[in-house]
Amino acid sequence: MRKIAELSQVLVAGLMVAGAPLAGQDATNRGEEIVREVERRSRGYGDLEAGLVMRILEGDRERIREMHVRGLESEDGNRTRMTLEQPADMAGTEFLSALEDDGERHQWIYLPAARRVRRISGARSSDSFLGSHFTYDDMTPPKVEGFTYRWIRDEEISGQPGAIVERTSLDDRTEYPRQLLWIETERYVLRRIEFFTSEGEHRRSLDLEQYLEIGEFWLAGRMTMVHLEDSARTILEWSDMRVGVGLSARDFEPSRLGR
Amino acid sequence: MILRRLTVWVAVLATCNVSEGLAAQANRIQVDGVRFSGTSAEAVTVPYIMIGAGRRDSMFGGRIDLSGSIQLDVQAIDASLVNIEELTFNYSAGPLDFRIGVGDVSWGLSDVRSPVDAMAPRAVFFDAYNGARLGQPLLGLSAFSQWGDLEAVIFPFPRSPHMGGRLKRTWNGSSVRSDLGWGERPVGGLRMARVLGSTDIALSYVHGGERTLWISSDRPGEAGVVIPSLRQAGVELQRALGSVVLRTEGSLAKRDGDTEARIVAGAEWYPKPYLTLMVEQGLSSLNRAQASPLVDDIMLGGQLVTEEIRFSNLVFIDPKSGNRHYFVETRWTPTARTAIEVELITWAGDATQEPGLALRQRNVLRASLLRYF
Repeated sequence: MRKIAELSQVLVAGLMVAGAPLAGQDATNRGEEIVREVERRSRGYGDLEAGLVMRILEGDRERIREMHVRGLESEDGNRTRMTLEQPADMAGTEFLSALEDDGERHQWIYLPAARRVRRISGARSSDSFLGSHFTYDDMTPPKVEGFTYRWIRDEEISGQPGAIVERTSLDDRTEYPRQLLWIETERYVLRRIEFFTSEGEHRRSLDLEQYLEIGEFWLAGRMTMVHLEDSARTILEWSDMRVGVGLSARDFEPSRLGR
Repeated sequence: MILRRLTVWVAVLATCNVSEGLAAQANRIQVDGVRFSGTSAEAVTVPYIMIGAGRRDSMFGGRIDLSGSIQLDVQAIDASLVNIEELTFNYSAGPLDFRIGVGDVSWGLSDVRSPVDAMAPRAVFFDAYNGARLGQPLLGLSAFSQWGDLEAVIFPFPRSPHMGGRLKRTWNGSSVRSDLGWGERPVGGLRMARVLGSTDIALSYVHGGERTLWISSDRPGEAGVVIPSLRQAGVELQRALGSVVLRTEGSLAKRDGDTEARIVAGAEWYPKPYLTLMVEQGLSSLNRAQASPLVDDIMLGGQLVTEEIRFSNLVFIDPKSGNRHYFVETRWTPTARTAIEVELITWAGDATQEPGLALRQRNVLRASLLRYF
C-alpha cells in the first residue's frame, strides 16, 4: 500500500522526502534513493479535501486560523484552494495557489466583501504563509534534483526503522541550504526536518506526527514548526482528510473562487 | 415587523451549526456613527446598525449559497436597506454548473470604477464608488472547457441602484430621486475567462439595462437615477511580474445611442508581505461631466496590513483641475471577534471645478464597532 505524508501538495508533499535503502550503495546514492522513494509514494493521490487548524503561538499569545483545504494533483502541477473560516472577519476569503512543474507559482485571492477574484503576486519563497512560521517554501514540494544528498545513519524513529539523511540545496539563495531529514523507512514518511542556515546554525525544526492512513496514503495529522531562537511555533492540525473526492480542474479555476 | 423578523432570521441562520456548512462571508453585527458635513448636504450624524451573515451548504444534490445584510438607519427606519445578496441553488452536471435564485456577478478588476462591471447595482450610503452589491433574481450557466470558463447570466427582473443615507444630493445641491423599481430593463451577459501562464484574460458582452449608478438632471435642482440601455463588449487582463501585478480592463459601449470607449489600467506592487502600493489611471473617449464614476482621474493608493492594524488610503486626482478626493480608513482588530474602524472621506481643491452632478460626499467621518459571530 502506498503511503504519503503530504497534504494538498501545498503542505505535506513539500515536506516529504526519502528513498528505499539499497545495500552496497554509497552514502550519497543511498540518501537520494530514500528521498526519491518518499517522493514516489507521495504522488498519485489525485485530489483531496481536508480541514486545517493553524495555531500560531508566540509567547503567551495564540492566534488561530481555520480553513477548508482542497488540493489537486495534475500533469502540469499542483493546485491548492483554501477557504478561510477563522478568523471570523476573514471568513469566506479564498486563496488559490497553482504551482507549475517548472516551479513558478501563481496565486489568486477572493474577497467576499468585493466579490472579486484578483491575482496577487507570487510570494517569495521565504515569505510567511498566512502569518505563520511556515514559509511558502515549506509548503512547496521540493524537487529531488534541487538538492544533493548524504545518508548519515540508520536510526530507530519512534520505534520504527528509519534513516537520517542530509540534503543540501543547489540554490545558494535558499535561506536554509542544509537540512537534516528523519525518515521512517518502512512507511517512507518524513518525521522531522532540522533547518540550518548557510552559517551552519540550527534555526528551526519541523515535526510531523499523528500519521493517518487515508486511502493508499499516509498523511501527517499534525505538523509543528518551531523557531529555536524564541520557541515561537506554528501547529498545523488536519482533520476530515479525504482523497479521491472527485474534484477536477474546474474547481481550481480562478473564476470559480467564491462559488 | 418585517425587519424584526428578518433580523431574527439572519441571527438564527448565522448561529446554526451545520457540520458541512462553510462560511460564505464574515457574519457580523456592526454599529456605525456617520458624520456627514459639507455644503451639498446638511451636517448631521447618522447612526446605523448593520447585520450581515452568510452560509453555504450542500442540499438536494447541489449547493445552497446564502448571504444577506440588513442596514438599519436607526433614526429613519424607512431609509433602511434589506439586501439578500445571495440566495442561490447551484447544481453541477458534468462540465456545466447551473445557478438559480437571487445573486449577482462581479466582473472586471477595478474595485471602484470597473468599466466592465455593468450588471451589478450597488447600495451606496457614503460615496458612489463603494457599497454593498445588491442581489437580484438571476439564471446562470457556467461551462468549463479547455478553452476556458464560460459564464452566461440573465437578470430577468433586475434591481436598480439604491441610494441611502445622505447621498441623495449632488455636488451642486440637486436632490436625486431613486424611485425606479425592480424589473426595469432586464440585462444579461456572457463572459469567457482563461488563465494563460502568468496572464489572466477575460472577454465579456453585456446587453440590457446598465446597473452602474447614473443620474440625469431632468429639471433645475433635481435629478433622477436612470437605467440606460447598454450594449457593451469588455476585456480584462491581469499579469503578474515578480512582485507587481498589472491590471487593465476596457469596454466599448453603446449607451442610449452614444458610443464610449473606456479603459482603466493600473498596477499593484507588493514590496513587502504587509504592504501594497497601487496606481490606476482611468480614461474615457467622452468628456463627461457625469455623476459617477471618477472616470478620468488618477488613483493612488496604499495598504498596510499587520495582525491587528490595517491602514488603507486612496486618493483620486483630477489631472485637469488638480482636485483631490481622499478615502482613508483605519481598522483595529483588538480581538479575534472585534474590530473598530474609522473612515474619512474628504476632498481638497476648487469646488467650482467639480462636475455639478457628481455624487460625492464632501466630508464624511465614520466610526464603527464590529462584532463577528
